[in-house]
Amino acid sequence: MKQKIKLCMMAFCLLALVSVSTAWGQENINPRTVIDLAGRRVKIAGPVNKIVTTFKPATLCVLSLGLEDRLVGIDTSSGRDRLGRAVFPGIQKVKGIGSKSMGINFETLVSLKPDLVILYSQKDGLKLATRLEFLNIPSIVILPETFDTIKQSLGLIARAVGEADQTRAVDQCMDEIISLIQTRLKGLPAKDRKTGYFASSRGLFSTTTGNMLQHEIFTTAGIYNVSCNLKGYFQDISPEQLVKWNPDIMVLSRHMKKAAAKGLSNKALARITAVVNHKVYRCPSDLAPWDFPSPLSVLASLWLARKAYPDRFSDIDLKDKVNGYYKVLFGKTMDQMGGTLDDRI
Amino acid sequence: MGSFKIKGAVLILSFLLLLLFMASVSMGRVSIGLSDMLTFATRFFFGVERTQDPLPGELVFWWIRFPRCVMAILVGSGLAVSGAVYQALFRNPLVSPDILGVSAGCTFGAALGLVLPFDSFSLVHIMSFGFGLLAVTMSVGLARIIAVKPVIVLVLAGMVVLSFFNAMLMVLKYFSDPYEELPSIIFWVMGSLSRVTWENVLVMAPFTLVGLAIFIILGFRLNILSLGDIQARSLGMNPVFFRRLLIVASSFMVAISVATCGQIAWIGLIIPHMARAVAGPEHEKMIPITALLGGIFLLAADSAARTMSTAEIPVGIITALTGAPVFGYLMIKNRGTGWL
Repeated sequence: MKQKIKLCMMAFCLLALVSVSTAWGQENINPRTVIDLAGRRVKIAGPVNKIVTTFKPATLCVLSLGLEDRLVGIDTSSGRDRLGRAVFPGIQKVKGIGSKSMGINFETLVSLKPDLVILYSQKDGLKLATRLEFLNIPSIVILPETFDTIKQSLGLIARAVGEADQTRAVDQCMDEIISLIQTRLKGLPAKDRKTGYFASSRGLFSTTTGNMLQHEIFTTAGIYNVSCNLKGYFQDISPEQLVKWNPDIMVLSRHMKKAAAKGLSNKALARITAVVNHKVYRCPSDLAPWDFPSPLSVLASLWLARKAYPDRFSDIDLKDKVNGYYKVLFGKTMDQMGGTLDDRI
Repeated sequence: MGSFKIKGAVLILSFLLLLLFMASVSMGRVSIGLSDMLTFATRFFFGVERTQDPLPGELVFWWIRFPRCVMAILVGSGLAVSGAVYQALFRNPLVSPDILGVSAGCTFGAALGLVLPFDSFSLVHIMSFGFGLLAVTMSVGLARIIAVKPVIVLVLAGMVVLSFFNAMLMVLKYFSDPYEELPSIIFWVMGSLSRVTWENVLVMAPFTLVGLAIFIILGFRLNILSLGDIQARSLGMNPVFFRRLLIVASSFMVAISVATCGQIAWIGLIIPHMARAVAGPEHEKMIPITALLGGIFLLAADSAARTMSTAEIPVGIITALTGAPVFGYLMIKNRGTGWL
């Protein structure tokens, strides 16, 4: 009798274990509703095994969350991205579906029968979402333009995929870096605060505005962005405006062509404090630019803060921090992927 | 118009250009007054700059604003005169470097030069010129093959070539990297004088001045060419040689402008009409007026573009916003006069 009871209990435990583990595994197949960054309510009924990204920041977010093996379609430029190829060599074989700037091939996108499409909010992003909704293809809009919205975008993708916990490690990494910078810059007198200028990939006289990611990179690094009063997307300025702003530090976009940087040899720019003090840098890294919407952009703040206030960060080994960060996000260090922190112009 | 009146008009316009130049070099994000300019000039001409460091405003004045204003005059004059020459050569008031597809060809060439791996400024110039010349050859060749109602056909052929090069530019944009190459192409296409340096002025000035001199010297021959090849031959002139010479010279002026400042529309179309209203149709008289008006127009537009706000407005927007209504007004004013 005792043996029967034992057997019954064992069977019950086994059953309970199986049902719990099944329920655990089924988290991603339970119907769920998420609210995307455009405020849309999106119902996702089943598991998400096939993801399509429509712009590079979305692809980088997916790679950071370790969901690369679910990619069935990507924006065309991501297939050529060095970081993408280092993290997920198979990315070159993933079908390109177009780009935000030149348009998405809707038929190609639909033919991939995705479980989830990650869209941008600008241009035709919202229209694409409506068209996909009509075809019962779930899509979410992300807007990775600040550190906060990068985290929100990562969280949204993770929830939509049904892997809500996936974002925890990335969030923690980002918070740690931001917290480190804030701690080191605590008590920085206003008079010692440096001013900075960011030149976009369009050229030396095209700069960031007060509502872009690059502005947040500067402010987090304790640097006053001289172009913070501009609004909208990248804005062109006259060279004399740059002379008038006279920034202490200048950061050129990693994507800027080297020929465009030759404008710095103009004699009128020679008296700008940043030029005089050789504080003109190209944003790292050569593997994936940090001046670009992705979870890596907090590293740009750390690098910049270290450049602007070296005394406060003298004990920080940037390469070590970066390697650790990449290891958590991508499972490989920057060194392993062949990246460098070269910031020469 | 008598030669005395023309000389008067040239003098007045030259004086206006000088005044505008003075105003333009004093306007901008860094304030530079008349007394500052006098100080800068004194320091420059009496060699004080060798013993003292130049002031920041002085550097802005000599190395940013001055070359930019000079370049605005050169580009404005060059584009306007090219338009006038095109209109005479093709005996068509609707022809301009924009309409014949030359600007589009130049822009495509410059964009191609930007994405090629050599990263060279002269390569951009050479490609721009080569494709500009190819565009005008294609327009004229296509019109010659069709050979019906040459005035209208040339405009239509120009539209075909324009569309072709715009499509090629789209293809180039499509295949270029959206984060590295595309932004620089878009920036180039928009047209701006913000990247002008003395080096650019030194490249641009000889070609523009030589081109202007050629067009003024050959102004009388332009009059003959605008009558048609039969009349030109009957007057003992080789129309093919002069037509080719003038097309190459004017295309080169457009190409070098586009390669330096990007595409700036409308100047080549409207300024020659304004000049004709002042000086009449004789080219030896209207070319200098066209050059002066072109310089004034672009200098004024660029001054507005760089001073109206902290961010710079693309100068092409201002030339289009002012050029289109002016051209519309000219069309209404001259209706029924055989102008079109």
